[in-house]
Parts: sequence; C-alpha cells; structure tokens
Amino acid sequence: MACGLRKSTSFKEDFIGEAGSTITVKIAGPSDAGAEIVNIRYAGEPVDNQEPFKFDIQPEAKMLVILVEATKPGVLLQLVEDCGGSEQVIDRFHFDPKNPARGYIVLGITA
Amino acid sequence: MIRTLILMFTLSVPALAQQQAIDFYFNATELENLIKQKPGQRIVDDLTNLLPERRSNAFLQYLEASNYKGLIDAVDAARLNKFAAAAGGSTGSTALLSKVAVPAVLGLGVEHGSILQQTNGTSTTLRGNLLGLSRWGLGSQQFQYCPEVAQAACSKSEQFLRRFSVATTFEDVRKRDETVTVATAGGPAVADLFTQDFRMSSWGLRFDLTRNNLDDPRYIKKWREQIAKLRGDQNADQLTIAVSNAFNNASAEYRQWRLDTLTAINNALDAREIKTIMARQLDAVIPILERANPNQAEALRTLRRAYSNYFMVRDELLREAQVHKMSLEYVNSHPQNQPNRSSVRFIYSHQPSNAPSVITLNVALTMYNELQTGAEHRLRDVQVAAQLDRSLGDIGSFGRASLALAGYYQWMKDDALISIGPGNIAPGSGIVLPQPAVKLLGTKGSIGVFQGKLSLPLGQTMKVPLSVTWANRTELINEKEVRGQIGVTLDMDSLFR
Repeated sequence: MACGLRKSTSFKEDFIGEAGSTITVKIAGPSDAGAEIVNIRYAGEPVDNQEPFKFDIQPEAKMLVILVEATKPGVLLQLVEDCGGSEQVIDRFHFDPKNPARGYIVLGITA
Repeated sequence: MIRTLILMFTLSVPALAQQQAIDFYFNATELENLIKQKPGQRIVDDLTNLLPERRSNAFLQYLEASNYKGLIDAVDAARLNKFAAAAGGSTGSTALLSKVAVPAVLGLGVEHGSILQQTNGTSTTLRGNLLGLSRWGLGSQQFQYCPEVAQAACSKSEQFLRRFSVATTFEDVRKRDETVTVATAGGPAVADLFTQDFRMSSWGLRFDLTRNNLDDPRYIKKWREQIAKLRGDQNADQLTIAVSNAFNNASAEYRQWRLDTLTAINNALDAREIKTIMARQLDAVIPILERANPNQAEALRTLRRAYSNYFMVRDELLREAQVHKMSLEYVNSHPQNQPNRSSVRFIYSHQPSNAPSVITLNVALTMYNELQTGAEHRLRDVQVAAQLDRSLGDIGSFGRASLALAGYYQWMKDDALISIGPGNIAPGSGIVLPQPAVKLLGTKGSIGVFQGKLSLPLGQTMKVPLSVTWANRTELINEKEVRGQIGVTLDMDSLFR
C-alpha cells in the first residue's frame, strides 16, 4: 500500500495528502528511550488513544498535534507513517520534555 | 530553610537580566547546535523544528518574556504581592484579605495553571509545587519549568524548589454521607470552596527525597506503565486541544509566514542572525494569529494553563515510576469535631522489578496543634503502616484487577479528644451542652488494623472494591470491629474521553 503523506516542498505546510485517505502514524526511537505517543489530535478532533493511531485526511490545511513522551531528554525520535507493509519517516526530532506537544500542518487536496 | 529560599530568589534575578526574550525560545541544546550550522549546510526540514507550532511552550515563554499583553496582563494581575497589597490597602481589613483575596488568588493560580484543582467524590484538592508557584508569583523567566526527566539540566534552585509540593483539601459538607465515589474533572469553582458548604479538612507540605535514575531498566518498565495512565488523563487531552486551538486555523497568511520565516532563517549568516530573525518573526506572527482568531489571547492563556496542568500530572506520574521512593510529609488536619492536629510522616515505597507490586511503608507522628484541656502533652499518637499492592492482571475484557493487603499500628499516648461546640448535643445522648467542651474518651493505648481489599473491574468506568477489615478497636470507640465492605466506584471522566 502506498504511503498517504508526502513532504510539502513549499514549506507552507508540513505534509500533503489526498483528502479522504487514511493515515497511520507511530513514533520510533532507541529501545532504551521508551518513546510513546500519549495523545494525538487532528483537525481539532481526538484520534484513537491506543495504537494504531489513524486519522482520515480532511480537505484544506488542518493541524495535527502529537503529544510525545520519552525517558531521555534530547534523544532522537522519528515520526513514522505506517503504510501497511512499508513505512516512511516523516519527521525527525530531538525529544524536548518542555515542548512535548508538536504541531504539524497537513494539507488535504482533492484528486 | 527560609534563608536558602530567599538566597535562591535573589540569585535568580541577575541571571534573568542577562537573558533576552528570544533565548527562552531557543532554550535547548539541540536547537543551539542546529542554528550553528553554516548556510548551505542547513536542511529546511530540520529548521521546521524552530516553528512555534513545534515549540508551543517555548513560544509562550517568549511571549511572556517579551511582554505580550494578552499574557502579561493575566500574569501581572496574578502576582501575589500586587494582589495582596491592593486588597489590604483598599479596605484596611484583614478579613477581606482572607475571605475574598485568598480564593481569588487561588482561583487565579488555577486559571494560570500553577495550581491544579482536582475533585474526587466529596473532596476537592488544590495542589502545586513550589517551583510552579514561584514561577507564577515571581515570573516564569526567573524560574524555568524543570521536568522530572530532565532535572540534571535545571539550575540548583529549580531542582530544589520542584521537590517541594503543597496541597490543601476542602470537604463538601453537603455530600459527606454519600458512599459512591465519582472522580470528575469538574467540581466547584475555587470561590465556592470558601462558602459554608465547604470546610478545609487539611493542608500539607511534601518534600521528595529521591530522584529518578533514568538509566535503570526497571525505571523504563515502570515508566511505560505510567505513560499508559497519562494517556487516559484528561490533562493530556486538554493540552492537544489547546495547541490545536492556538494554531487552529493554519490560515493562508500563517502558512505564508512559515515560508517567509524558514526562507529567512535558511539564508541567515550565523546563529546570531537566526535569533534576530526569529524574534522579529515571532513578533510578526501574533497579529497574524489574532486576525485568524479574535480570541487568540484567551487561546494562549488556555495553552499555558494546559501545559502547567499536564506537566504537574506527568511529573507526579513519573515520580511514582521510581523503583525506590522516599518523601517527608507534613499535614495539618482539621477533622470535624476533633481538635486540629499536625502529622509528620516519612514515606518509603519500593516497586520490585520482577513483580507488578508496590510495597509502601509509613512512619508518622501526630501532635495536637494546641495543648488540650485535660491533656498533659501535645503528642497524640505514633503510627506505623505497611501496604502491599499487587496487580492481578486483566480479567477478560473487563480490565485490571488488583489486591491490597495492609497493616496499621497506632499507639495513642492519651485518650482521644473530640471538640463539642456550644449548644451541641453530646454524642449518644440528648443532652445539650451549655458551653464548648472537650470530651475525653477511654481510648489510649494500641490500635491494630488489618485490611484485605480486592478491586474487580467492570469495564473501563466501573470498579467493585471488596474489602475485609479487622481492628482491635477504633480511635474513638474501644471495641473490636470486623467489617466487610462492598462498593462501586465510577470514573465519569472516562465516559467523555
């Protein structure tokens, strides 16, 4: 299955995806860093509070907020899209316990 | 102790003077390294980590440090010293200060996020740690938030202050006889707690003696269990709602600002220029956000409160993940119809790595706050308690069951005392007492209590606790007691998650 998100090259938003397609995301990091998604919200609405974290892309630009925790400050984490059989890293960042909630702008386009 | 605190406050001020508002935004080693990269070496994807939607708490700190009116007004109004002076100066009445200013100040603390209000059944507790209260009272730039998992990066004064926590509990006298415990996020406003329907049942201070060892594999295992609890906590929900609302519209104008910002930063000559550009762009983004959302200042205040509450709950949960934990606690209790008293308690808990259990030990000493009529000493009792909690695993799809076994020993130095106000009826009689009295009951000596409690889940919202308690006597009645209890606890919050 193809991945649903692609990086925006205009940088006005983070990701672009086709409206209506279902996206699954997860967090990855070193095994001793204990990275976990605590809460996730897209377009103002809550996404499942257990894995797999899935949401459907809506038309226009909407905010995706991911609340992440890890045991080690500064550890390098990856936000991964699970594409069903394959996966792609859509963001890399160092865990900052003072800024655990990260916002992304997802632009939904109609085919 | 007081001198140490004053010294810390004093030392923190010069440090503040040397920092600029934008330094609060870049307060992370990884970001400092990122902006040191030369032009041409930078990756725009990495630069997106500098955007305010990625660093919303740092964005709030920048706004506070740069005197953004929407935040600074509320903080300024909430400054303890200004508020107290205004209340006292305007009327000259200390009664006004205690009856109006105290709930108002506490209410502002709850609004600001430095005080967490939690209602459980008939009691409402206001809690805060000394670092959070200092940040509120003296300014968040002087004392940075110090996360449980990153204490090593905090200043000595921040590390010290965060280990102190304070709490006060109010009891709803209207509901005291209800037996069903309902945990709910709502509850009375702070001002309500000072009405006749509520009474303060206790206040206390706690100092945590231990710190986390982040490299301990046992800690990481416990950490995952605590994160699972955090997932179900409403404060995590409130935080993502608040971030979402603060950048809600992702308007075309905001998205253009993003592009302009990333382009300018990517072309900057050095780290200093990046900071200058970012400060200029953060100042420019506020009117853009305000145009997209006329209630932007309120959205940012809500975000600040959401972060404070989330951090408080997260840090408490992570503290519980410690394999060994020790704390010292002082509680000033105001039990109804009994003299006020103070307890000093040493608490130790241990979570064995190979079993889902927690062992807790308590040693406490209780004194009456004043020497009571008919008593020779203020010492009331000495207590020793031990408890073993063990998870019994999931029962089908119903949830997790748990077992608790506890033993408690109390030595009463003298007979217990109860206070009877004027005109009140003496217990167990129809006699109306003409004046205040303190009644001595023949209850000095040893009290032993043992309890076994099994908690069975009935889905995500309900639990049925079954308990059997044996006591050789109680504090006020010198008779052996064996009691079995069955109850229902309902977590209403989970219905709305």
